[in-house]
Amino acid sequence: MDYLIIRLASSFFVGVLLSQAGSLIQLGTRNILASPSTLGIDGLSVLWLLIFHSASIYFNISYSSEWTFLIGLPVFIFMGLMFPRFFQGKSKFERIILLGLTFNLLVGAVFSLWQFLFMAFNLPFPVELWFGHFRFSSMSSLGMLIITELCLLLGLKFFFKDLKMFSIGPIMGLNWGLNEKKLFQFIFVAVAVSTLIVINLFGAFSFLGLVFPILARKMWFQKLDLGGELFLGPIFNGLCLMAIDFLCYFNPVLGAEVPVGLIVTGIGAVSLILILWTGHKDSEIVAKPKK
Amino acid sequence: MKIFELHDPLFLPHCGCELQFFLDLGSSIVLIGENGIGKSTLLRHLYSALEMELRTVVEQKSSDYFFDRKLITLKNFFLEGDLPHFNIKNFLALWNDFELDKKEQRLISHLSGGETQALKLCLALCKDCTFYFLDEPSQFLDTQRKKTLCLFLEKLRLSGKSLIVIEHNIDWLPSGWNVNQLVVENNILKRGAEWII
Repeated sequence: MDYLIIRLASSFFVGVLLSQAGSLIQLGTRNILASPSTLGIDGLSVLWLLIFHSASIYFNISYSSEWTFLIGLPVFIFMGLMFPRFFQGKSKFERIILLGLTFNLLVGAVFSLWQFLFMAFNLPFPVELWFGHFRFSSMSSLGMLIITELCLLLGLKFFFKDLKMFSIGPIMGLNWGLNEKKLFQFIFVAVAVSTLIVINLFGAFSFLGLVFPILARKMWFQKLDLGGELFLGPIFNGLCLMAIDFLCYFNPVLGAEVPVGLIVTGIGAVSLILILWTGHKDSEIVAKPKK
Repeated sequence: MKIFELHDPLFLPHCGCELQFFLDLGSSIVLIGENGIGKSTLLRHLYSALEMELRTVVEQKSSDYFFDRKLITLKNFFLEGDLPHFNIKNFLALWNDFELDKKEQRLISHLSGGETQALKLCLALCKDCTFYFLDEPSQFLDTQRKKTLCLFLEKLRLSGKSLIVIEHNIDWLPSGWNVNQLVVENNILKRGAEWII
């Protein structure tokens, strides 16, 4: 029972973190197709884990996933601080999203090649990294998730006014003294660290960071504005992920548990196709004024 | 009348030219000229030379509203946002005079082009500062809103603010404003017969 509580709490916090990270990145780039997956941050985290895993085998060191996160933390914070410099002056993120997707494909190819080589040499390989699951949830991993979420909430509280100003449009940066550089640094550090901890502890949950913010925005945005998307929406999304994990846990297929990452990737991809395909003027997220 | 001189001479980094532009405090200058001669670029160079608290800008390009929120939410944010140099009186006056108060329950995406322009003007002109830079502020506005804008700009000028406006159609502007025809001769931008770079 204790294990189940820890596991379900972990899935809840992963849902919350991914929803908030997705919202932040979509707000920062003003693009609904931006997410940790499409910008290549997922790919970077997986690559980091592969390098760490290979190095640990080469040097014959045993490690826990908490250590990979703690060692990777300064690297990803540094990358988060550097991202805004890389994007400076680029108001169009379509090209960066395309680059991120291509990078993810490259990491996928590297992952498969790495897996092939490791299996050829009969070495252990983290095959389940590509589709996340909560089978190995522990008290320490839950603790780290909660600490990360608390830090993120503190950051959101501190930057909430700036986020609101930024969400109004470029006019606020031009006339009202909004420090966009500082805000961008917060957004990218928050997204990089959230993605790293989730992938590090539980594996990749592709599309969740893309679809969750859209769901949160559709449900609560018009009533509660950014507060609905950044606080209430993530709670709902966390509960959704928890419910899916609950179903996976109690409904094994042929004695084996289906990774929740596999299910949500499928659901996420289909939802995104439906949202984009059936999207008409009223469901368009980007408010395009008539001319 | 006090002559206010922007950084003298101002350096235009993109072409290696120097720019001299004299502007009286409390004056209004209208820049007119053909498309593509560099009016907006000139305006951008002028406002970039000033600190943010001294100026406010209305750019020609449409503002991107990523989030489709109701007008009332924007209004409340401005009223409660504790923004620096925010003039609540001007904000409410413009909001009501542009008749945005009647559309408060509407989503931004459901506004017409003129209403969106009115919103953009409202969000920029409620800032209390010395210099107001407006790039084609009357685009998409109907006659009534143009009249409102005209009265508001004249009120600003009379209260000692400086305005630089780019316009193609100057019929709606208050009479007596200093209209400067900008031309390009041999790749040099000139104001009347006088070179400014």
